[in-house]
Amino acid sequence: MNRLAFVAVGSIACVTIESLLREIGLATPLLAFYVFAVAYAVSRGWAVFSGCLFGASLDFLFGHAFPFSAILLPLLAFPGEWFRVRHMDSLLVQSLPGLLIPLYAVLPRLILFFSSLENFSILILSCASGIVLLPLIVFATERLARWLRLDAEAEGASA
Amino acid sequence: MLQKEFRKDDLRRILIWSLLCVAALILIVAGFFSFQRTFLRFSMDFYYPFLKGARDAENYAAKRLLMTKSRAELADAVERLQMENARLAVLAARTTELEAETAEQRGLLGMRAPEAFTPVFAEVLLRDPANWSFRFTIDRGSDDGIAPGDVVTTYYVPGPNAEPTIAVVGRVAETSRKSAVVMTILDPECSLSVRMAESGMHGTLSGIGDRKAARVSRLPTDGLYAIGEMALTSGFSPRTPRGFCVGYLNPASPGDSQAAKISDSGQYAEASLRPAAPLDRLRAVMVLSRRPPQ
Repeated sequence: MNRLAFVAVGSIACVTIESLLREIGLATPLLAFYVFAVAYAVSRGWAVFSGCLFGASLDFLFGHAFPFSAILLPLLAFPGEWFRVRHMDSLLVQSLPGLLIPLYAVLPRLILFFSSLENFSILILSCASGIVLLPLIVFATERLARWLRLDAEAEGASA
Repeated sequence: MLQKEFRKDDLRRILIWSLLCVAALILIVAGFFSFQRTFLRFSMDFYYPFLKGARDAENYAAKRLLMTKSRAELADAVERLQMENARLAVLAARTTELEAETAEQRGLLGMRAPEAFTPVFAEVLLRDPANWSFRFTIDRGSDDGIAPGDVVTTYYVPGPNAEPTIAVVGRVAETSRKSAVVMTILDPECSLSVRMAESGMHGTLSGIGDRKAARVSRLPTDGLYAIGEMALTSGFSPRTPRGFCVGYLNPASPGDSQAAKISDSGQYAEASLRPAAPLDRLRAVMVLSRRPPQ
């Protein structure tokens, strides 16, 4: 129950902020970063849940005809978990998925809607923001989950 | 022997996981399309307070910024608005008079009264950079009388010394209680019946996925279509009011003196249309609703 609340509150905040950022022209995939962070800090299952449910709500909010986010975001749970298992906790290493996740989450929509290359500045901006934001979100989520005893290690101990 | 069993188990696990992934994918897509409308309404209403709160804070800050202006500037603005109000009051009185006259003549000719539309003013709440020119969400919904298919317009000034006018933005695609998704005339799913202002010919406007132009198809081949000719709403559909500016015709091809070309089938002419409304920088829109607010 605590994990559900933790994941839901974080996801709702991410969807809201991401929507507001999109409204000013920034396509920063905050929910995608959060899904990755949940897989890293809490568990893969909760990350899939968050990506699926809140990814769909993001699609509905923007009136997408196809559920891009609901399909693409849950898959981020797997690299997130892989980073945890391999103990890749250096901020520098985590900035690499920060660069790649926007490519994965934003590029399909850009390819579908735009025919010219001029709008790829949107993608460059979101990749640049990802390098900084992903390590920060992972760090904050992990600290918060550990403080609330909701992290993956606590789950293993309780089991 | 052990290695062989391990490989077999491994293979089985991979197969099960792959099947589960495919099943999950099918479930997500099927669920999305089956419950799209219900989830869309729930989702839009759920996030509405958060998004509207942010927009209200922005509007409040903009209003507070007005306080930084001098009293003389504010007095000038008030004076200008009073003059504008007086001008509009005269125009409104004239329109009411014409409306009564038209109703009387329609009555004499036995024609039924035209559809009445209620304007609903709304602010743009959400926009996705990936489909910026095609769709956006507004902060008014079915509680305000908005329904899917209603025409969305905006107020704009065509040039530096030109009179302000109203242009069509698109149609309402989906509604929730508090908000609505609007598809612009550039969206491939949006279509609208139009009438050419000079030639008087009718055609069908639809988006082609281009961010700068839409296509007017099914135009009669014997018409003369000038570059820059204005397209207006035809009013054929009871949901669409008549005579609102939609856009202007582009040249059929670069350097061409004609605006229309014969379609591939040879039965109709088609033309490219530049939207009149500034679709990329909309902030406020007006939805023409046929239903009174609940």
